[in-house]
Amino acid sequence: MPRYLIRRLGQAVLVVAGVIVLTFAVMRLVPGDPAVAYAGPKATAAELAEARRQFGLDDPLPVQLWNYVRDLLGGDWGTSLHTRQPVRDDLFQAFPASLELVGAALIIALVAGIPLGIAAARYKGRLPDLSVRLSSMLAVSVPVFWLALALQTVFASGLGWFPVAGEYDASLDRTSPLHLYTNITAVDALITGNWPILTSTLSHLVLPALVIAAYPAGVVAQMTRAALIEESSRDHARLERALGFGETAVLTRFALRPALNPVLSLIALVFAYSIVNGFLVEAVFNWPGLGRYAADSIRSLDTPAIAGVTLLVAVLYVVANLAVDLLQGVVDPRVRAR
Amino acid sequence: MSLISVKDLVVRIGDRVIASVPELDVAAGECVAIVGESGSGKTTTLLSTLGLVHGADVSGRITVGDVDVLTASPARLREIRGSRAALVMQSPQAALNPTMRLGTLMRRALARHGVKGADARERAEEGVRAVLLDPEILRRYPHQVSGGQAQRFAIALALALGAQVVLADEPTSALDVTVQAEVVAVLRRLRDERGLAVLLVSHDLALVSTIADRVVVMRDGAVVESGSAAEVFARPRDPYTQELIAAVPALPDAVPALPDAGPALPELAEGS
Amino acid sequence: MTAPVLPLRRTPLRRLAGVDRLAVAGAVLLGIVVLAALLAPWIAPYPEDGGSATHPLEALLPPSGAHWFGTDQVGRDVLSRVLFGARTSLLIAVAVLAVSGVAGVVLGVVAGYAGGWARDVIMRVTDIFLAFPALLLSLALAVVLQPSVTTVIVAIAVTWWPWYARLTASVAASVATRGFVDSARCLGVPAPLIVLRHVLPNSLTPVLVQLSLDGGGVILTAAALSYLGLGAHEPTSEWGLMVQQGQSLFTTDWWVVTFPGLAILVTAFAFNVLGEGLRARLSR
Repeated sequence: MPRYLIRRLGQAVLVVAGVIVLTFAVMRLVPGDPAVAYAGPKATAAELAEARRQFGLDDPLPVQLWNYVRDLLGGDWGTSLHTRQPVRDDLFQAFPASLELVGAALIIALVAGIPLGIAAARYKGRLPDLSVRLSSMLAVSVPVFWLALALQTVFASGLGWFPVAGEYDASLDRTSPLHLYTNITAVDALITGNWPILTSTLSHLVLPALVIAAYPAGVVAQMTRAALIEESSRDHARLERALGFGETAVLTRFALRPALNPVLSLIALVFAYSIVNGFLVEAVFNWPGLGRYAADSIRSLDTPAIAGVTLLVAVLYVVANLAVDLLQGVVDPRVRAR
Repeated sequence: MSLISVKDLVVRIGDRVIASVPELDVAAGECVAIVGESGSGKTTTLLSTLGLVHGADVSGRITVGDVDVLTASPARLREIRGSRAALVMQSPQAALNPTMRLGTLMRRALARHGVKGADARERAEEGVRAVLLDPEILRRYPHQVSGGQAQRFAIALALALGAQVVLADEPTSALDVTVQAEVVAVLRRLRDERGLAVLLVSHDLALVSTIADRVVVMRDGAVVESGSAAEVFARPRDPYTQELIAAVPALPDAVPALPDAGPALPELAEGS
Repeated sequence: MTAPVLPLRRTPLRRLAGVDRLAVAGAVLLGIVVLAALLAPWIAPYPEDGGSATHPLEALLPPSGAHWFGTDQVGRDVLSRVLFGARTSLLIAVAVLAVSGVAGVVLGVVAGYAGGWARDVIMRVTDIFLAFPALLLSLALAVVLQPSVTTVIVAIAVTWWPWYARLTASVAASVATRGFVDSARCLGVPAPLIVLRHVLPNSLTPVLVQLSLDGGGVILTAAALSYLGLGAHEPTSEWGLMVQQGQSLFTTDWWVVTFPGLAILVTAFAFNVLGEGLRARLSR
């Protein structure tokens, strides 16, 4: 395992390096002059030159790239044009809220998707299978921003079952202030026993989390189904049948665990995808996460902020992939032995 | 009294007959071997005795003990699978769930047939010891055991569940020669000492000659010859059987010795 | 294996027919969308509403016999705009899939057939691109370019090609080691000809299935970019843009947002059903 691990780590570092270069390249594609964007349209020539010097725009590109990498590693992710704050601080504030939202969505997706996948595999080719397959294809085909608007209109504005927007009722900050440890509101509220904020956060979470969960739930259901069908046609499933186990027992008690392996590796991919899908949903529900920050940055063409978000999500994706590879070792003893 | 009895079995997929067996009986303490090439219908015949052939029409009469396999309810069928007759499959490790310790599989199988707690532990260890394995093996995963150990564990499963018949589908063809002998020795000893019945499917005539009491030769889904092992090996009547026997390099010399030595034949593997 | 014991529950014929039905259903649904796009100028009840026409007096009329899908905030017929929107969405989908498909297949064949350092370089570059969720990189690109339909096509195509490159490379690598390719090489057939005659045709089927599966993803990504204001702009009819323009009216005038959203859903669904059907056939 150590050698396998080192190889995987090396690959991950290489990919992160490439991601940084690519992000830099995209940023340099900006048609406008970042110095003008920063200093404002009424800036004097001297102010412009100062801004240009400050951003190092006079240097040749390789030097700029080198400075960019050096700054990143030193913790300087640039300054946001619209908040006028260090991008790193902005991201640090926004990320936990996104993690909370996407985490909740993935939990919903697994809790709904795996049993649906099992049901489809159990009744393969029959009505339950067809309905699971069709509904999971619908779930991955729905435009999230539209679903967000629709659920918000019907269940929040219309029926009033859930709050319309925000992360929790802001007036609670006065009556029962929250101590921050992890910066994830629901988690902090839970560990400090702050029930008013916890219940408020959970009710605010339901709609946006459901919207984001649609895509991963569909993918997980399809993948679980396919993996279970494959696993239940293997030799070991025949032995399990010959030991007197029925189809349902073979699927849930024997085939499910090896079948979860591909489902898990999918979750890493889906995690990053869901963070980005969250961008659209957060904007609709005014959720104070990366997505709202990204949407604001897009509106003000704030390239340092966008580069920061892009970089963060890409690195997250690489890390999530790595984490899943390690997790697979826990689920599948064969991987551990490698 | 036979433990497994097959009469007028015909297995069809569409219009094609993939196995047709007029008569096949396996009694306690007896090893019956079905031999033939791939596609001869021998594995299908074996699986049909437990009602494990899917996607095909099975007709005739199959009884395991007092249970009529073709008319029994699915629940009754599941009850006899494992507890009356147990399967040992060709590829040793692929037949075991990769994510499960051998002991877990054993425990679940015993619980499935109503044996739990200390009783189950005792039966598991007893079964494993009977095939000359250390009970420590129950803590291992399939990838941590050898092919021979995996096959012997499959036999141990059958013993722990109280099965009187072992259905062995090419149990040694994925193993090294010395390991093959080991597995055959275990089967033979259990047959002789405990009266275990063995229905063996194999294309390996050299192997069959060392354990089988009776032989059924199949080709293209049909039985071409059957009789006592000594009889068939010494005086094959069907040209196809003659061809099969002639094709085994070690056999022609060994064949004349067969009638005298009796069905149990050379004890070459007993010690290993 | 000794006997062909098939793990089928019912007759194979019925299952095959079931799978075919899925692919056929997807193809029919997609065919309807394509027809709507092609015939939009003739079947739209108010063709001029697909563009910049305004009828302030007819603004926000609910669905009726005259306007099946109602009218939008400047009085344009929503049905007509949804029909014209199919043109924009399908144009983007076809352009993205063609550009990224060709680029990916070419690079993939080179990587898979040539091997060696060419393979290493191409595969590492695809790794880097694949580390970005498609919408994210498209988003970053679309921000720095001027918002337009072309921007959407470029931004999505740039993020999409590595999937085809990787898929083709693996197929090509396995084809390249087969006997007939070896013997062709020994006979002195030039490499480009071998690639054209043997490697390419064998790589195409999985790529085509993947393309039809990805159509839905492209439609959704394009709609999202337009929804964020990074793609098509007035007066172009584009579904994502229509949702964005109408979103504040959802509670009062539901039809302005509902129908364009449904159009995105139906089109993406058609691609997915078709792709799934084809994949099930292929993996048989």
